[in-house]
Amino acid sequence: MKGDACIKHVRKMNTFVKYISLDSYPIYLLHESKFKTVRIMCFFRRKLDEKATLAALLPRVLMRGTNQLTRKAYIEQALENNYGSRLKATTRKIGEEHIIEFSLNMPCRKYLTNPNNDVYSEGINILKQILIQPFTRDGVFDKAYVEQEKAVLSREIRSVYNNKREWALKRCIEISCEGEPFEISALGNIEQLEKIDNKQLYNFYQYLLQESYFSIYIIGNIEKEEIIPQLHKICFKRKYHPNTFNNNAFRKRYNTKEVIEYDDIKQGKLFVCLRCNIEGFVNSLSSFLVYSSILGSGSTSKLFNVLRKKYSLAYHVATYADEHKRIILIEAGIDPSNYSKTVMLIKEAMNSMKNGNITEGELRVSVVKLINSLRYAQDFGLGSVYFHLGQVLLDIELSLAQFIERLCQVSIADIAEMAQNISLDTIYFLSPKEGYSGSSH
Amino acid sequence: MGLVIECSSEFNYNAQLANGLKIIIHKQTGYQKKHAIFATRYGSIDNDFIDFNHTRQRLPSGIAHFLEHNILANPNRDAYSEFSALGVALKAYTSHYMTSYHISGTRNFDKAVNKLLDIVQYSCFDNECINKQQRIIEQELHMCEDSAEWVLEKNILSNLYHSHPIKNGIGGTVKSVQKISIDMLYLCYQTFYQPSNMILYLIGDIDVNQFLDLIVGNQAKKDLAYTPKITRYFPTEPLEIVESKKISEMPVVLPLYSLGIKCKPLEVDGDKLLKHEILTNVINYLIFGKSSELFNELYENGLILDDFGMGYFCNFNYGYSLIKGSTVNPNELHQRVVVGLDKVKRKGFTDTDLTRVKRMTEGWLITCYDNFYKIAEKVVSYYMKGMYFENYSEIVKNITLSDINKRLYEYLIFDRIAISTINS
Repeated sequence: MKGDACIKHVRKMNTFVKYISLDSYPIYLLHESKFKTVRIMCFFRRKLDEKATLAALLPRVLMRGTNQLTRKAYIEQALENNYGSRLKATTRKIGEEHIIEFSLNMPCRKYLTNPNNDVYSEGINILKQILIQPFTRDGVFDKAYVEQEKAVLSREIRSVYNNKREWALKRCIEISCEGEPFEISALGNIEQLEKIDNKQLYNFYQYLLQESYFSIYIIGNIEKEEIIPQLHKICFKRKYHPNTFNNNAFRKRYNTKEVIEYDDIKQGKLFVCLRCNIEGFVNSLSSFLVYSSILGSGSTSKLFNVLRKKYSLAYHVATYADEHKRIILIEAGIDPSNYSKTVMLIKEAMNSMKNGNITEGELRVSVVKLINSLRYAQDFGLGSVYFHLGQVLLDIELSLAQFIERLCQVSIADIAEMAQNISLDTIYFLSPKEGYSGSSH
Repeated sequence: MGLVIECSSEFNYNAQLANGLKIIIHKQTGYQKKHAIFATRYGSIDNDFIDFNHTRQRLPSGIAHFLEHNILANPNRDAYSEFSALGVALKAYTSHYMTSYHISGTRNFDKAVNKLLDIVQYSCFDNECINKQQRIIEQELHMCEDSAEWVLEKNILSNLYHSHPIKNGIGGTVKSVQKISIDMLYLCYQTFYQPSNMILYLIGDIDVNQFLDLIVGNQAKKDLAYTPKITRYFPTEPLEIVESKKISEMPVVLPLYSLGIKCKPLEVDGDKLLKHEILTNVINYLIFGKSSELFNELYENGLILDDFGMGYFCNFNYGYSLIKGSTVNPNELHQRVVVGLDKVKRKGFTDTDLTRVKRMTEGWLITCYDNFYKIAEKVVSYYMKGMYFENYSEIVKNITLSDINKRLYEYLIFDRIAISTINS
């Protein structure tokens, strides 16, 4: 496997350097001279649980105002004046962790025409206010802001239904992972949301500052002297926490769940959830990723070849591997009249992988695709950060070079063995209603 | 094959070949990925034109998109597999005014660029492939029809435009696609896929001399000569809109609202058109952006969410703004928007607004180079519309308050506003 040149190249790349803040949280800094954006990303990590809705609501309320910039309009104006800096807050789930992320992007100060600009200190000043000096009334969050953001979040939760593809994906996960934390949406749910008030949210905020695992990542053409001292402003007198490692309980389903639901759509959305049940998953991580790539990633994959090229059943077909939850999702947009044939072809493709019917060519192309996507990710600040964070969440510490080396070592026998440990958990199909098929002319 | 270098700096190379092919290379050191776009000025609006045989053609909609599919899946070769084997990703897009083929990869990029030029320039078609692609495109069209956002935009464009082909869906319709014949494909291919009508753009840690030699060598082997500018016809489009309101029903949880503003086309391209576009974008941003009074009023009153956004789309012979977002009450939202627009038009903008926008743009013009895909898209799209992205910074620096307020006055004509909503 000709990964050597690639590995040598990647070894020369910079890696994150870890510092510890005065407040005992880790700060990871990656100096990258090629970037023109400096990114500062703050992560609050906690388990995905019944407080998910509070965690989803909180960052939105924090972004509504600070004690100095009391309205969203003033925050946005301050960012615009700071050379178009951008501050974004999101909640996402990675495996069964719920992550609140605040991301501040600023132009690298070396490129600005005014050499005396103070873009970093002004940016961190805004970030600090958002994180630890929120706008409050009578010692808690402003009631109107909380109610407005509840309404916005409520609509966002409900409007997932507008995007039929997202809706079908959500339903597949809910059915497949019923009873597991993973079934909880990163946005929380409506029933819990309605019960939240401003006092409860403020208490959760205090709790989050103390009890979650917190870290900051910085990436850009920036020296530690320019930034680390500034970050000491972000201090909330925390206790130090060890890494929260999630040990996913896995389950094997002996009879595949098959669910068909109907909606007013023209094209059916098929999602199939595969589960990996292998001892010592982390050691087989590479095989897992390569399996998914061979099965359904891109135009040379088994599923693309059979569902699109050979039988023209689908325009869009793909697999997505989630190594933190240890599932693979297969997605295809098909006519309902082709449902049975599509499912049969998917099962056939999976069986052929169990039998090791994989050519060296297929293996090589899939590994190269994975390696390329890892290398591309390093061209983006976000990519490097998420790669590092993803490793931390798996409680492993492989450098990019080591990770790529492991991918290059995967053999056809490894894939066939992995295939034995992958079961078809759930088939979910969101179908057009009868008589509403897209195949009419 | 002659090559004329029009501009050469540490990081920006502009050149043109004797056969008319435009080449732009942005050298960015330290990146692993390289990205290239090979694009032709041929999109869904180009249905009426003089072909390479000097005959006028009026053809069904959707051919540019159909051709894109067939070029990559033609009988002689399987483009996706060939690029995959090199470890390079291939994507293709058709828009209103161009078709673009994108490749990105970290290795074998020289081979990939050669291959891209060959695949696009040595295409042939057969009926079996055409039938297959017809079925795939049908699925793609149905996928679009299920998207509320797609339907929303289509409705706005048919509200704004009487006959300009901008109002047609990019892929055409199932019926129009069925009318496309192999002869039409060849006709459009031979007319529009000429180097004089095309651009090759590269960005990344690229050895400029190596790639210029490669491109020159590749083109020298082909019998492609310089061709004159293609004559395209567009129907006369009145300034008035078709109808001011359209409501569709789809299974959505939250209604979707959009507002379109039809603009008088400038009828020129180049820096004048670029300045016009920049001014309109600045105005939209100051009226509807997250720091604006109107956005915040609507948000604080629960009428819009974070997905509320806007854009201005223009070419030399059309221009429209599209503002859209989810809302609980499209009627109330619209009433407040109209009041807000009226207020802005009467007050105008201030120096503080302009300074803030200039600082913001300065930062944006620095950070946008970190996203190759975005910058490649921008440079090529502007070029295809007769504009140069490298002039953006200078134009912004020289904008005056009077420029913005004058454009505001011409732009916000209430008779040229239409809305479209999607209700459950």
